[in-house]
Amino acid sequence: MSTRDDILTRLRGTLRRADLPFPPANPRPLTTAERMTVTRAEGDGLALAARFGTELEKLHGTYEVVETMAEARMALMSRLLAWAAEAEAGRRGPRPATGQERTVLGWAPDRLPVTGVADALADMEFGFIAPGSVLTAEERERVRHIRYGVTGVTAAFASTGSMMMVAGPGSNRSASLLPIRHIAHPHQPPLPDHGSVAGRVARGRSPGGHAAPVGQLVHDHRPQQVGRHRRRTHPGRPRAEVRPRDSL
Amino acid sequence: MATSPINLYAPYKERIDLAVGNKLQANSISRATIKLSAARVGSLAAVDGQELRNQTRRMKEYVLRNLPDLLETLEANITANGGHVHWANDGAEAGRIVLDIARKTRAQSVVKAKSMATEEIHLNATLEEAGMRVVESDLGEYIIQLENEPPSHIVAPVIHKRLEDVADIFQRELDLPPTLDPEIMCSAARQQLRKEFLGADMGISGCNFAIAETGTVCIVTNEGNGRMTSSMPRVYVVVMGIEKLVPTVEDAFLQYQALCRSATGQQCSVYLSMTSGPRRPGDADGPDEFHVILLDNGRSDMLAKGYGEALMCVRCGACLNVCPVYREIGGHAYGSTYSGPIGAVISPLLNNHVTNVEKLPHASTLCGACRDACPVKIDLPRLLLDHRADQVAAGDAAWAEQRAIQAFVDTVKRRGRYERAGKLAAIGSNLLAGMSGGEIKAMPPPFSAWTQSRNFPPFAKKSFREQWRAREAQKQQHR
Amino acid sequence: MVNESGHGASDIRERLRRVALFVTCMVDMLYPDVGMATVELLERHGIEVIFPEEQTCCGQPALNAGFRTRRILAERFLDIFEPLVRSGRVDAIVAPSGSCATMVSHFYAVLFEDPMLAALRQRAEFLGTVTFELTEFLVDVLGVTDVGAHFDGRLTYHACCHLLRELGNDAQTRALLNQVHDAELVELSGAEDCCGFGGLFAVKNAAISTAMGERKVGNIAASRADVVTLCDVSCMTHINGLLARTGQPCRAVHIAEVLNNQVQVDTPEAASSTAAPAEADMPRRWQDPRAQE
Repeated sequence: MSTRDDILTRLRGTLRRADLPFPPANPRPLTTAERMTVTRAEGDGLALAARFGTELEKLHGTYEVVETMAEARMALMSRLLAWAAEAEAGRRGPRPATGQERTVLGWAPDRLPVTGVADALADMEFGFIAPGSVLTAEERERVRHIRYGVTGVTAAFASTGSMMMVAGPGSNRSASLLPIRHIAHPHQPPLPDHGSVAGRVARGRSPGGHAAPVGQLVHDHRPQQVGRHRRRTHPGRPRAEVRPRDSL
Repeated sequence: MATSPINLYAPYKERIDLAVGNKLQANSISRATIKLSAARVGSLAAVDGQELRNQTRRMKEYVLRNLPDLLETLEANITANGGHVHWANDGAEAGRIVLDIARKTRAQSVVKAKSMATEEIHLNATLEEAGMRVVESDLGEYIIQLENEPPSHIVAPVIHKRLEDVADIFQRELDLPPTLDPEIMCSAARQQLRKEFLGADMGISGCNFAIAETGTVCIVTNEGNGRMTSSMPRVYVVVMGIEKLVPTVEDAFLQYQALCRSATGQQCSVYLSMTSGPRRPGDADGPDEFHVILLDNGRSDMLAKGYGEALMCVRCGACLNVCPVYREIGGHAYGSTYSGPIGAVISPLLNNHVTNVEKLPHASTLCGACRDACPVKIDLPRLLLDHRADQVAAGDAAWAEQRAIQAFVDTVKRRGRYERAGKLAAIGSNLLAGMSGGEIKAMPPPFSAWTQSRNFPPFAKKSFREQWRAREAQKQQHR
Repeated sequence: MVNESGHGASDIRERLRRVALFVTCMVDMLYPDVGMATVELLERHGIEVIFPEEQTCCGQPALNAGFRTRRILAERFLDIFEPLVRSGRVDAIVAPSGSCATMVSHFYAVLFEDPMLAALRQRAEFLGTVTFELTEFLVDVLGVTDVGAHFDGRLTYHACCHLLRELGNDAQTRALLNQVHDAELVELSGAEDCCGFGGLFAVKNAAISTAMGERKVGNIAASRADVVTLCDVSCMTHINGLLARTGQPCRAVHIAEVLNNQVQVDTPEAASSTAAPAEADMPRRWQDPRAQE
């Protein structure tokens, strides 16, 4: 008998026993109607954006609500310049020359809700890279010292200040993972709670009803931790200029 | 690597004496766990915490009742997503499976995200013996790996160390100049770990919960190292206990909230990383291969022996944080991967070598704080009592203890004997107490275990029942 | 003193005339004054107390140690107390101990869990519904919080585990203590943390038990209380054993004695309650007036 069958047979045999003290005989699964919403934010898009921002700031993130695509680009640029200045001011010793100090790692331009990011970056002498592959050592060497990442967001959750990102073609994992700073652009107002929405995302994104291969939920970052520091710009109020990318 | 003074395999008494003697450690563990407990209480009070606990328990009861079917569903969905599922009866089998995957994928170096399941089966040792390089990427796990120590807490593996201790380790192992600045220490560790992430062939993590309906493994982390582990190396291997399942995505988010609030008092952890399969065509990054190893290692026996309730455990560590015993002795004294009340319940049932494991169910006052803190309301004191009863039933109780209990029961089951024994005890104890200023300060074994550190009062010269009789007699006279 | 609001409560009081005292073996043998205080408190509230003299121990030590088949003491308890309740001779059973009351109302069910013992379990369940810990009885059943107690000193409270977590009794004891006249009530840091007694644990794991007790005693010292009161003499023995050994002036006192005005604090020569005497045998600042008789 294979180990698999061995384990399953053992479990089934045990669960058939009438004298088993645990688990209860016929527990019902939690239904959608019964399952509690642990935290939920209320209000319209603007109120949800404000709540999202409040939660994010509690977690040491920053956010900005912008009205137009131009403002979004401006917010992005001013944030990057502020960080660059901060890094320069805090620098002790010689300037590290990785050649990646003024490069931004991002999702493919057509996956970013803010248009014209690469051009705007170029105007400020920042490079932009949305790699098609970050698999080999050489490919990784080209991005490993990049300090800033720019991505879209699959869904944002107002009550916890969380964002969900689902990886896929053009939406790489690296941009929200490798750089020490992360700017995310939710393209829709944050959602009031997690549960069912996350479920729809996870189930709906993949063929055959299976989950998307990789998703992640991101929240704060405490500075003393090993990972990266995250800051976010949040264009919270969608205008016509902010194209909804793909539907959930 | 440094040699740690901690010897998990030392006899129980040695481990306890070492821990109890380390007041500095006990005080810092006590401070840290009290803080974590307060955070838990606050974060559960911010929502309907009781209902969250009730619902999470109900969901886990459903999981365990339907465990075989849900495991098959999970397996089918992971496979459909392009992942591979393996089954392991014990740690040795799981180790062989990982080595086999490594051989087939020519993986030499491994980064690991924090995982209790791999600690439980000592996977690092297995891989290192086979010549592989293994680096822990959780900051706490990384620190104790440098120190060659096991974790001492389910969630906070390095809770037994003070900042000064960590600074010493970093100075020694990473050539860091002397500093007590956590920022600088973290930055040094981050630089070191970054290299490992980008270069490792294989990532190994545990699993906080796996969603059966979608075939998704979820890991809950605060440092981002989990997602690095699941995203960067070519091969991603998950080792998970067969009980760590939830039926649906919505159930996962329910447990996620219960877990985070109970573990650290956060609403949510910094990261929740969900993996359902390998990198797909067009993806710029992600693992080529995704393997999930379903580990039994005593869990199906746990269910069969009547301890199934403990399989609901979500490994939040809340029971450790409130446990007054854990606060005094820390995790290492338990001698097992799992410490605290839940460790005392499951260690004797897991397929593991724990020296004097039979002592663990007795290392509790059954005060009940753990049960009240548990996000799934596991009746831990009851399960500890069950262990004690099972030991007695198996004839494993110490002979002296059996005799003592028997003698006690035989004495007090007859009122006459009980009263006579009380009278004798009153005479003897008052003699002893009279010699030492009113209270007993020394007694022969086994009572010396008490009097070594504590006084004991003499028995009353006139017991309550004697006083009662006198009072009744007086009442009669007055009538 | 008796809270007159609420018809339900007065109905119960109307019905309640007699209780059986389950004094517990430790109170019987070691602390008869606690038993007497319990009797007097109940009598002062119009309750007639009877003491079934056949009673000895509830059997918790055996259960706690895992000797679940040693049920004789529990069966004895049922045989002694059940007929009293069934026949209407008493309306309730009252014990000055959260732990022993818990044994009857919660742990007998574990002892008689085997389906073969269903009859015993039913008897135990019945008895469990009429068995009360003292403060629970005073507050929940009699509806009393002010028992006319007076205490001139600093008083703190340690919540014993079974009372707090099995019986869910915290508000009751605190309500009673809030009505102790002239008492300066101070909160004990870590009041809900176990003192480390734990029955056989105190001997089997003496080192851990002592460390837990030392932490408790440290918190008691920090509270600068003259008296720490509680509802179980087992925990009281443990805490006092350490307080005395470490030369602390404070003492643990059972709540019945506080409520029955059996405790006084000496305040000679303006002894500062912060300064702990170095010697274990220093004269106690705390005294039980009965001990002087």
